[in-house]
Amino acid sequence: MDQFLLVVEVVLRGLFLGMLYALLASGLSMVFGVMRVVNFAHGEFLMLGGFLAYFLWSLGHVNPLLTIVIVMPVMFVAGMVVQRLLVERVVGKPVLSSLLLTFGISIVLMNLAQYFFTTNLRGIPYMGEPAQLLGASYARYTLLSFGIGGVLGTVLFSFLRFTSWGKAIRATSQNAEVAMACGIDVRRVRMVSFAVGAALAGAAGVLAAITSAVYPAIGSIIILRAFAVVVLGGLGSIGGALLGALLIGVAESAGTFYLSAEVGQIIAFVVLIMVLLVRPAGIFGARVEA
Amino acid sequence: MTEDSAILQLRNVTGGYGKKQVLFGVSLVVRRGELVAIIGPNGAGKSTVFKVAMGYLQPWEGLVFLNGQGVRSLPTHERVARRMGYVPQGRVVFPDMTVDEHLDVGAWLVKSREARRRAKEYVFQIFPRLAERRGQKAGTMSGGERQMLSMGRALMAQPTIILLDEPSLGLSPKLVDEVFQHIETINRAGVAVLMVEQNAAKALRHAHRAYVIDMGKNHLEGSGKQLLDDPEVRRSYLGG
Repeated sequence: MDQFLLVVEVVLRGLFLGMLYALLASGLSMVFGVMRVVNFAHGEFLMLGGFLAYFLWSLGHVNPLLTIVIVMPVMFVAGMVVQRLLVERVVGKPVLSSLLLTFGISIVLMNLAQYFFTTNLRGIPYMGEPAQLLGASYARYTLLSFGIGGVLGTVLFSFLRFTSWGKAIRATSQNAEVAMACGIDVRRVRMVSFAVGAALAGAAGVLAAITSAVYPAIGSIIILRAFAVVVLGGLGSIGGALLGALLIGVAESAGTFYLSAEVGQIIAFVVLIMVLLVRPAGIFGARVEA
Repeated sequence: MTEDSAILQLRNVTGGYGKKQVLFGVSLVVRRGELVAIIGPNGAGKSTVFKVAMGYLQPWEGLVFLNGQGVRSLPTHERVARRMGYVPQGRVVFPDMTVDEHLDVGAWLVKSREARRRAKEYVFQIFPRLAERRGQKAGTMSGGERQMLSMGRALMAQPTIILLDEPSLGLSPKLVDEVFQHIETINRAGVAVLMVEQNAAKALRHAHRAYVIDMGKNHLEGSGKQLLDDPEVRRSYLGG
């Protein structure tokens, strides 16, 4: 029985961890689907969102949970600006151009953050008291961030499924030429998709600041996991990204618990390689056309 | 200036991809309510004419008019907003979206809910099979069904002219007949049709007028019947 409860705990911790990856990976996947651009700077939106939340709390005395209501719109607008001024220029260009551009944006943002915010770790102490769930004890902030992640994931899913903008985003990612023939301004769709992705990454940053801490390099570290998740789920498939994120989270949690923290760090990539050996296009990969 | 009744007009259009020239001067006109076909051998530039007409490809020279207005540099979605519909080659659809979702996306420009509902009803009336498969994903449908879905999707925006690129390509003879019947139904409802067809005999039998395009240039034009009886057309493009 104890053994069983232990497994439950490992799985739950994995799901909690996976939710953070899911917020990041769903935006990354959506941006790739709509523009065929791999956005290396996506992690920096998480980093900026995290710092914004931290300073809103520490300097502005805003309730940590409420910062998300400010961070998401700010990151949405920031995403729109970055997309229109920079990323839009490399849509349809050779892959190397977009890789260099987004990699460059990532480096610039990270170093600006180091210059202005220093490399200190900054966390928001909030809801640290333990809570009991299925025989184990978790910090309340863990449950809280899982809940927020779940709500945002559901909102994103409903947005894509039921709203006309959501359908336009899916249409553009499945066939941009036909989307244009429906009268859709695909440039605007690209801008909105990128902005939604940035807002979700910003929300993930808030959760990272509450559950652990943010620092300038957090984006470049966590983005590698998100890439593993996106490739695992199948490039461009948002449902696949959500599932892949939870899978990687659980694998990482199990690796850390049963083997060691070092193994936990690499487990995401081990899972990725194993899945790709069986399904080279990822779990839902058949959906994306070349 | 263009004729009053002309919906779409191309005048001396040249163009191509990169440095490779495909069109060496194409002119054509489609008037209100007409059913016009473009025929010609493979690689003659027929689909490229459509890409220029829809704004996917900028012409190098020449003019494109829509309802008498020059639209040479107007982006595709704004041409669609001016009631131009396009059904691309290969029955391309959004594989992961259902029939209902296709029609919703097709009605992107139709802002009134009531107008959208009526448009959908009209499409289901022309293509009853789509009504039976409202919840089915396009990727799992047959070639003929996807062609109907593609045409239905284009009709949702209530176009005054619709461009059909190879509508019968790859379909069985029975389905080809069905597709041509649908094209006539749409045309009789007042929508002008411009179609590119490799099935030249079939296209000429249904079209009011037709253009023969060869080597990226206008070669012949006339009524469907004239061209069907023309010995040179018979020899070069109808295979006998």
